[in-house]
Amino acid sequence: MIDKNKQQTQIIDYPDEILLDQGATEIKNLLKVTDCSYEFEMKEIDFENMHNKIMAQVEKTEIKKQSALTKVWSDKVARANIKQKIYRSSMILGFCLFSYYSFPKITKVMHMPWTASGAVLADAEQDPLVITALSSYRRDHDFFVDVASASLDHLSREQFARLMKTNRKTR
Amino acid sequence: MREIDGGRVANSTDTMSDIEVIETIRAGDRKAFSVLVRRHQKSLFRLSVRFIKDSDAAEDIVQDSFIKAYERLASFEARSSFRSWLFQIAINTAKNKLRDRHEQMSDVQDLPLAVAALAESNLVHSGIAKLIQKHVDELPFKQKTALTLRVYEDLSFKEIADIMDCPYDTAKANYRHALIRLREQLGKNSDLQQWQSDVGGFFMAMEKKTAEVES
Repeated sequence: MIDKNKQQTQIIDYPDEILLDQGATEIKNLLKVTDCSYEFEMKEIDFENMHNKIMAQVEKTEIKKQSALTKVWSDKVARANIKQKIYRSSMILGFCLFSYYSFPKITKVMHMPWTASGAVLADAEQDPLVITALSSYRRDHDFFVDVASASLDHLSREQFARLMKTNRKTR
Repeated sequence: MREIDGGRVANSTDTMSDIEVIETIRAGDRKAFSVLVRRHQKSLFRLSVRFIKDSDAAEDIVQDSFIKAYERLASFEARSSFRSWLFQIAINTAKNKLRDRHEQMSDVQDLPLAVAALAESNLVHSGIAKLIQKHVDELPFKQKTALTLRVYEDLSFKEIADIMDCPYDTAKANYRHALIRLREQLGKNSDLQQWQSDVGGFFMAMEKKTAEVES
């Protein structure tokens, strides 16, 4: 059933339409004056014949029934809203997935110095001598260099030579 | 029921609106479709001819459009007028036909206009008209559609948007771009410029005539 309340009432030309046309009046007039469609005009009898052909075809044709799904899909408003909703939700879902998979990696990289610093401080709390050692260093780099050099002191001659040989190979 | 000219019998459906006729058809009265055909076939033919430039092909488009409209009558929900809906079907049918036929644009080249020939104003007018029509045919399909519906059918942009199945602003944009492009093309055409300067009075007279007829 067609809802008659939804019928189109008289179409009103909005002011901006008039403004647009004012700028194009010259072209419009030129097109109207030079209209060639009169060359293809048909006589009344030809229109009558065309009408009869159409009605003969209509007698053999059936009105296609709409299925329930087609009815919903053919609703222009619903279709427009569904498309917009699909696009919007796809974008949000994509953003969420990207954030879910990339955020832990980013925070892991950012969190590393904090983790390392936290472990050092935890050790320092347990052993006061560590605090003394740490406090003498202005930078973390100095501390780690001393740790590395101290560990090399415990190496034997063979171990040290092997280490240097390996280092030369990697260069 | 009463008889009118041509032996056609008029009945109550002739005075009904398109929506009411459609409801009658859906109720089972096939013959009521004849009312819609008689009402809209001339405007539909005029529209088809503007796209296809061939009266036989335009006739085919009109017939196909009415048959398609009849088949899909169940899906018509009166969101736009029946005429707009029918125009939409006809334009899509014309577009498909053009694509199938690989329709070439009008091959009328720029017509040289000798000053002496200006005395035969009908011939000149016809030549200029074909020249302008050639530029219109060269427009992209959507721009040409918006221009045709606005200029020749005097439809509002709301109706054009319904027919072209696009937003209101898109219909306006297509129309504006068509006019801008036409203005550029016509501005480059020296023959048209010459014609306008030599027979500017002719154009003004035609404008007056149009205004008189419309008033």
